[in-house]
Amino acid sequence: MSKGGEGSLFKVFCSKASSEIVLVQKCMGGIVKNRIIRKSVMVLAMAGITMLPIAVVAGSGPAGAAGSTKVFMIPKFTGIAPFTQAAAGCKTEGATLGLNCLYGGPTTGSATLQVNFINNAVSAGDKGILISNDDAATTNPALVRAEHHGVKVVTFDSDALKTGRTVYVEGTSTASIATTELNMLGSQMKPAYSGSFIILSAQATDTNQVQWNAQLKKDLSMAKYSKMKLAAIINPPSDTAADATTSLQAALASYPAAKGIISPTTVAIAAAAQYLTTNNLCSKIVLTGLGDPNQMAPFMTKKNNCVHSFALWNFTQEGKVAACAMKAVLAGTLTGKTGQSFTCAGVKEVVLPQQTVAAGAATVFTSANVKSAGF
Amino acid sequence: MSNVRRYVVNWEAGLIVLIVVVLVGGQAVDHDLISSFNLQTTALNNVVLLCLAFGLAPVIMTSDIDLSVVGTLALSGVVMGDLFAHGMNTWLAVAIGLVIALVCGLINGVLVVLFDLPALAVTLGTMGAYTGVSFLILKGLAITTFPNVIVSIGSSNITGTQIPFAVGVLAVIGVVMTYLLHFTAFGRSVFAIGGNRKAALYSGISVNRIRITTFVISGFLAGVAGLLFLGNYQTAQAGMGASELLPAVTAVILGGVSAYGGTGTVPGVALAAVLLALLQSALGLHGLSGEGQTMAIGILLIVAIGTPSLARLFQDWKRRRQPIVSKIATSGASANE
Repeated sequence: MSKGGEGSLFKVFCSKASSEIVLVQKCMGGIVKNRIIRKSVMVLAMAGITMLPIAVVAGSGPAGAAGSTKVFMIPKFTGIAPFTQAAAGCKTEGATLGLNCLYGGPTTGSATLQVNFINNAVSAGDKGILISNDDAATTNPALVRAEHHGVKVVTFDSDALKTGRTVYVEGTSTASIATTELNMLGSQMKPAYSGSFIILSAQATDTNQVQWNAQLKKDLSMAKYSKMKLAAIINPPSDTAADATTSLQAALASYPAAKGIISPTTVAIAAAAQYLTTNNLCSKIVLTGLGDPNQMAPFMTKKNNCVHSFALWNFTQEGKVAACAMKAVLAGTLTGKTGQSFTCAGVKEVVLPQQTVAAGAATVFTSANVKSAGF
Repeated sequence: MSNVRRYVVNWEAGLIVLIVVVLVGGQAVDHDLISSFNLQTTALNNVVLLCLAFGLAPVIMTSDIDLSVVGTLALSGVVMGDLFAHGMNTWLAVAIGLVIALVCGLINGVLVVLFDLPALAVTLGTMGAYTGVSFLILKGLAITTFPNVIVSIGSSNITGTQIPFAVGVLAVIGVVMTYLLHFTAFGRSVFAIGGNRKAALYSGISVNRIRITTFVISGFLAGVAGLLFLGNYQTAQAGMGASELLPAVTAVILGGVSAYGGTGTVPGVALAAVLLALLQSALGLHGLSGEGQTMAIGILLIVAIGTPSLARLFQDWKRRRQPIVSKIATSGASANE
């Protein structure tokens, strides 16, 4: 706000420029007159308002149970049900294990913003980081740096590069997701298991989406699916409903023969269901994939039966298993070697050569059980 | 008024006060804010933002805007990454990337100035176009291996110190930009154009040339930001840097550059970026979620741009409180003239 000639730099500027008419006006004009008043008010107001959030923060920070170990859970982004549930699972299971599971992440699916949270967790002296990666490559340098500082990393939902974590807790196995998706779609196609379809996925860098889609492509070579043809994998530019809708619209225009959509993300499948409903395409195109029961229930009623089946695993359970894995990693009993095991709420898990743990099985939801999902 | 008071009470001083408040407050609450690890990583996470802000500052000072900086960042970053991956000489690839960034800026400048189109619309369009071209180059994939020297520039410290190399690069850019905008005829022209474009034109300033130059500077620094991004995050993809646009604009406005043009200083922008970085780090260390951080920064921005208006209201209020007699006396005097 050094209008014309305020401040130190300003003085130099004004005196040098005094030969130019425009600037002379600025330097000599009325602006200078009330400079002091204006600036004092500004400084006071800014200081006051900045103190406000700090004061709020000082009063409301996470208390941190005495004697418990702090671990930090970072979702791909905050504000959607699955991650909120995973955090709840981590908190409740963590409490019984002596872990104080803190939760925080970016508001948009951005790996560079996740890096801020990783660094903050390390600076804050948290002992472990649980993260669902937006982009494994981008977060990896920060995760490796965290590990050098003695912080243990367990990934959940979406994996990091192997150098950046000890173990990966997946909601359910990649193989079962791919076959579940293909079976849900194929059984609804007419004639069954034949025709072309598209995958409406998430950002191109989402590790879990890439893995599932790659597995699904492999599975297509099986005899059962030989008549099903994958027309395209659509990656919207961001993990938002708006971008999913726009991308779907473009894809349906490009692939008019598509008889089905597999959408392995809770955000995009809900957006797609809404789009098909609005455009009266429900009877022509089969939609299935991975969805959130609360979001999908409106599309499985008698009035609107746009979606007949979709799947999801229990994210609360995934959060719990992630907390157990973290506890075992912190205790040093789990280092990612083949054959190691840890227990969690009575479930015995064996770590595979891929250093991956499946938290549970996927549940297929139909109109019969969508209301009673309970998660 | 004394020189001391004039020196102390200005926008930059206000920012410094706030930085101290955040540092002291944050350190008192969490004890981890002022640690070499935290300061280093906080700095590394914000060099891209500040580099973009340095480029945006002169554009906003001439009362234009350049939203395409993140598109330029992505395009030059992706091109550099792709050339590295194809085994081209590192420095040649960097030079090509920076030239592309420069050309991106030039295209903006030519469209906005010579074709007389609104900067907001043009750069919104080119943002999409540049990002789109980067997407076509990599086809949605990401490049994740880079030459060691690039990684060193982006993420390691200056030899023998705890200061990240990228911070040194930014310091040099800051000094150059300060000189350029506050100590040269070019800089004076930038402020004159921002203050009153017509008056600047009539006083003999080649307005078009200066405005195009600010867009070229903005493009070039976006390219440098792309290089720093590659070195720090070790990834090149079409969407890279997209989340840096609003924070960069925030830093420029919070730094005292009026959204209407004609005011602001480069050190102010640098201080604003430091303030934003420290505030975000302090809030994050305290376990505040992304929403909380976004909110705090939003409030800070509104306060920053709202304060001058508030001050004006305060002045008017004071003026109204002056004895009515003196007003009559003044107006009477002017009527007699």
